[in-house]
Amino acid sequence: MTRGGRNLLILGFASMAFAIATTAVSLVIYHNSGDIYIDRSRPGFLPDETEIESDATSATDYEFSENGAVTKKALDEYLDNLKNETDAIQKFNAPFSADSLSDEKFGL
Amino acid sequence: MKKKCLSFNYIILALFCQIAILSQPVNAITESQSRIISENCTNIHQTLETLQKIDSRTRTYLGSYYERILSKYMIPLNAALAKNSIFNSDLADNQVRFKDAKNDFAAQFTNYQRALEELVHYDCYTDPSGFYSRLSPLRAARERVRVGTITLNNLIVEHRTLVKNLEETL
Repeated sequence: MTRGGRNLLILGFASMAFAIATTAVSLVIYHNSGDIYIDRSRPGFLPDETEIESDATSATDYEFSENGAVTKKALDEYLDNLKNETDAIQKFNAPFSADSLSDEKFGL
Repeated sequence: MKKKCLSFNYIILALFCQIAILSQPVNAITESQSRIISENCTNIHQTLETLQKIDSRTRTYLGSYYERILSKYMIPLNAALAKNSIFNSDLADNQVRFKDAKNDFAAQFTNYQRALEELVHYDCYTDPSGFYSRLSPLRAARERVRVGTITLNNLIVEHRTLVKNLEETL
């Protein structure tokens, strides 16, 4: 093997080792930060079709302007839009209720 | 002397009884429960996996709503109030508490999911007792997440009231 060929081989292995190390560090951070638990692109956690459709229709682009005047009209609009958000939250009826982990749920 | 000795014995006996009662684990598993867990281990794992997915979905949606309320409503409103020289410490305080509660909700959810993940991979077939003993802390972790959502919802209600009050003063 020529010197150039050997150097190329070393470069290849070094690149692979670097890629493996950085990927491992990324995965540790991904897991330890808890991001893994809200990542819905994981296999088995992907949103279903109806969910995606309802997402597209419910999205609002309202944002209160921090540079505008604080008037009655502006606050009215603010409260109306805020109500849409709270209504969407209320659709999650009793989130994280105890029933899902009760003895009865496991047939005990 | 005999009477003293007798009453001392009663006290010792009472103490032993109390220790025996207190040393009983609150969530001790019965033999029938142990058998059911072993027999239905696969189904239990499936139930937990489904719950993991549902909770992940709920957390993602609620988290995005809370984030939007904070970044598109509360923060810009308080900034606008400051720029317009309208001093409202209650709204500023509400924003700080909402942000803290949101961070706490995210942290509690991560703790809960870690506990749930451990149980999803736990061998309940060979160790039903170990599985059952881990259920109690998992329930407590889930309860903390539930309380977090209630706290955040209450803070949103409080925020709406404060904005309505502010509106009346304009």
